[in-house]
Amino acid sequence: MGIFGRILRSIPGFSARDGRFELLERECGSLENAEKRRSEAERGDERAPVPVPRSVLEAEKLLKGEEFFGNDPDLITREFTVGGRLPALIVYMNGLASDAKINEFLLRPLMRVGDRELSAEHLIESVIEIAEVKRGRDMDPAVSGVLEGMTALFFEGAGEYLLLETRGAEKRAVGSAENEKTVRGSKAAFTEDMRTNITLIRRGIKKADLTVKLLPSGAKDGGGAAIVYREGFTSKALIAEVEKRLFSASPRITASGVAEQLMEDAPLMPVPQTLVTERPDRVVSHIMNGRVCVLAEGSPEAVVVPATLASLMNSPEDVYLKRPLGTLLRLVRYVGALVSVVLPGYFLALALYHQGLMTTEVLGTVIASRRMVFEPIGAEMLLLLFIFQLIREAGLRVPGGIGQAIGIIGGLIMGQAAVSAHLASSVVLIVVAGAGLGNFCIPDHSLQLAAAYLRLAAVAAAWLGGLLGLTAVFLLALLRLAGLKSFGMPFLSPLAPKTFSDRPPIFRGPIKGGLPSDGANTEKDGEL
Amino acid sequence: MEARVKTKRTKGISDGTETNAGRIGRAETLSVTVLSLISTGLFSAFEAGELGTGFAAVLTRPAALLLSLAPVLAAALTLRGNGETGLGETLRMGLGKAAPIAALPLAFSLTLTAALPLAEFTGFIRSFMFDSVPTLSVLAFVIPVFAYAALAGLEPEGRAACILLPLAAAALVIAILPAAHEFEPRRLLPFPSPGEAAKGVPAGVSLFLPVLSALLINLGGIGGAERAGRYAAVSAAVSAAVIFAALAALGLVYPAPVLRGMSLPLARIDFLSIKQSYALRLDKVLAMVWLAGSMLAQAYCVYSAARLMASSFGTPLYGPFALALSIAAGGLVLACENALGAGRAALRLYSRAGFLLPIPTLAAGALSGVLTRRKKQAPKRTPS
Repeated sequence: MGIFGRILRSIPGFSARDGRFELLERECGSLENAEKRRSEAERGDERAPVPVPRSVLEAEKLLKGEEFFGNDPDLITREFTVGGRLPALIVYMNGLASDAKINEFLLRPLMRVGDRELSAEHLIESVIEIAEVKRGRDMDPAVSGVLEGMTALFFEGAGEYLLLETRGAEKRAVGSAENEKTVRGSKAAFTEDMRTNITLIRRGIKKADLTVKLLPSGAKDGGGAAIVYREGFTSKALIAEVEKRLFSASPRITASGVAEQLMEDAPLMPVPQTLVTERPDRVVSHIMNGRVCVLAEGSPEAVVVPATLASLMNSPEDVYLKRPLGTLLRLVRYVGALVSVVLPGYFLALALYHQGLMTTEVLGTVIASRRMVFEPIGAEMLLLLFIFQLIREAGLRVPGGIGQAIGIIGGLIMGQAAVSAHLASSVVLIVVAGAGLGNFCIPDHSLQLAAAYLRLAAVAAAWLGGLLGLTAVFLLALLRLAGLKSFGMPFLSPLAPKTFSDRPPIFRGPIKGGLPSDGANTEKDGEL
Repeated sequence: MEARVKTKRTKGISDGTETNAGRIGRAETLSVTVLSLISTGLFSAFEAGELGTGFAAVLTRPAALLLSLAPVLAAALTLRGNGETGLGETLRMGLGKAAPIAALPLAFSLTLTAALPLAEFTGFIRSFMFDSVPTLSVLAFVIPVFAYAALAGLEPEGRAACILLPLAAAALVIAILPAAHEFEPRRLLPFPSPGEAAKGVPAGVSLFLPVLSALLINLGGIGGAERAGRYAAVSAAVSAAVIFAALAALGLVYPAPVLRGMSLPLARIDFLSIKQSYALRLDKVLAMVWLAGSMLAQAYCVYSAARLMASSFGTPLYGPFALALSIAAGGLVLACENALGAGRAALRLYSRAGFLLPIPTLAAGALSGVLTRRKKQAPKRTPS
């Protein structure tokens, strides 16, 4: 490339080529990079491994030192003798491990053992009544295990430890979905416990190819996040890309929302590029179709990638209904979304600039309703949209019953009062309420917020430029969405680009004989 | 080595090629080309030759479109052996540093073709949607979006066209069908003589030839010259049929003398069917749908021109060219209403004589294609 090319490249913003969001063709690297990042993440902070001391007293001192727990009041250390002869030490975290399991299946058998041989092998095989036991000589995995609720058992003179599965922290039972309610279908929802969530998915997919991969957390060998997919069916490139984006950042994943933001292609786009759901049945259906699910410890929701507009607009209830009814519901949902985004801006454009497009009767009604309203109609519209968002936020944040009351008071009484006080006209109020109702038809919360953004932009553009402004904003939004990809999958597919197996998003297809999504690019054809 | 995506069963996403980056499928290519052809054919101002004794454009525009197909197919045929190497790259390979000079006429004609419908829409918006607002105010909304679309590249343009084409077609049906009761065949009379009609053909060719040539520029994105030829033929046939039907409907409603003084007559056909009723008037809404489609379609032309220039310079960075050409198209539209109508005069001149402009680039491209293929096929001399 000559001087001309170099000058062009130096101009900010022009160095990007089209298709830069393509899977595996991002500048940040390829599969080889993913492997590198994975090993880097696994290496953690590059600290040299700390060997287990031979003396249990030294081990206790080391654990209570600044390097590890530093006199954490929740850390329980208990010295005892195995069979009255061999000094030993158990270490666990109060509240995370089950006292009953430790007393019943660990301490009691170990204290009462009368055998002559007291080797670790013998104790694991014949004495300890706990199923999952790991052995180690490095302190870091022991600390990670203790932090997860496991119990570390040290023996005098052994220079190694046993890590025993004694997890028993209090956790919420599997409840019903709060935010994705359906009339029909499964009511189960994810909990804060990642293992329970994995079990819920496993219950839905009884296939040997279902794979769960734990990602390293802040401490080595931890399990802060997990990716779930079907090995041999889900696109290898997709799995590698998810791993690449998550492995480098996994110590920072404290919640599913963080994982979502770390994985997104375009972080500044208000439109969600991942599907976040609290329903295991929805996750199961997506994994079966060749997508990848990400779970995070402590988050009662799963993140599914790649996501498209169609997948975000689908409700889990659609598959429980007959095809015509499912299609009708989807149609209503799409029309609702369209009304939500277009109606306020369109009305404003007509009322301000293109009155000729309204019939005399409609125009008369609008004029009559605005007779005593003092602010310009654009400001009135923006004010009402802001109040609507205010009521919505207030309704969401306060407890159930009061939230509903706020919605009713805000919607009916405040609206009526605003009209009576000539702060707002009844026609504009109806338009805003209609747009608000349409917004609630969108099943995904993040997409609802993105639609609200676009609506605001549309109102501002219509205020400035009428239908011309509206056209400009919608074309801009369409182009941006058409260029957006979620893990290499075009966001508007199967609408654009059109694909073989995916049906038009509005029409619900038959359940039998379905193919996995073209965009998911699965390794095997037609197997569901 | 960079890892590649394994693609299967991906017609529409990658058309079976190794990677999808910067590529569009069959539906997207056809959509963006058809949208560009229809938008140019229906929303560009009629020339004097097309509205002489009768409404000759009904016949001349579809005929010109089919005529424009011939040089494009011939060029595609010569470029077939070069795989997915586009016109710009072929020129670069064949002509070296002289390639930009050869590319310039087609890039110029693509930019002028993009400006033609925009000028019509701007005039319509100024006259009928807002009360004589300055052209600059209208362009303040149009040009940034137009430039963004040109910068966005082939993928977003193709996909957005996939969505906008059905909407624009529906808008056309909604505009024309309700006006059917006003159709009167006598309004098409007098039929222009063949000699009279032939005068309008060059104007039509200058509209359609650059748009079809854009396929040859984007060979890398659409999957090679063979596909480009097929897409050109299909989109030309479809667009010629649509343009004929729409212009025939227009001719059945308005006689040629009336059409002579009208800007964007299709957008005004709606007045005939809905005068005063409870139904909402849609004329301006339909015009805005066409404007969106037209902005996208013309941005595709500017993108192609920018891609041609960039690749003829040997750089993949088309952004600065796209931005510069978008601003140039906007400036031309601005000059239509200001600067003593210099822009309009330039566009009129282009409509009359512009059909010759893309020919040198296409000929040079075809020649370069043949030469580079021969070079590749020539046996290498090995030292004895």
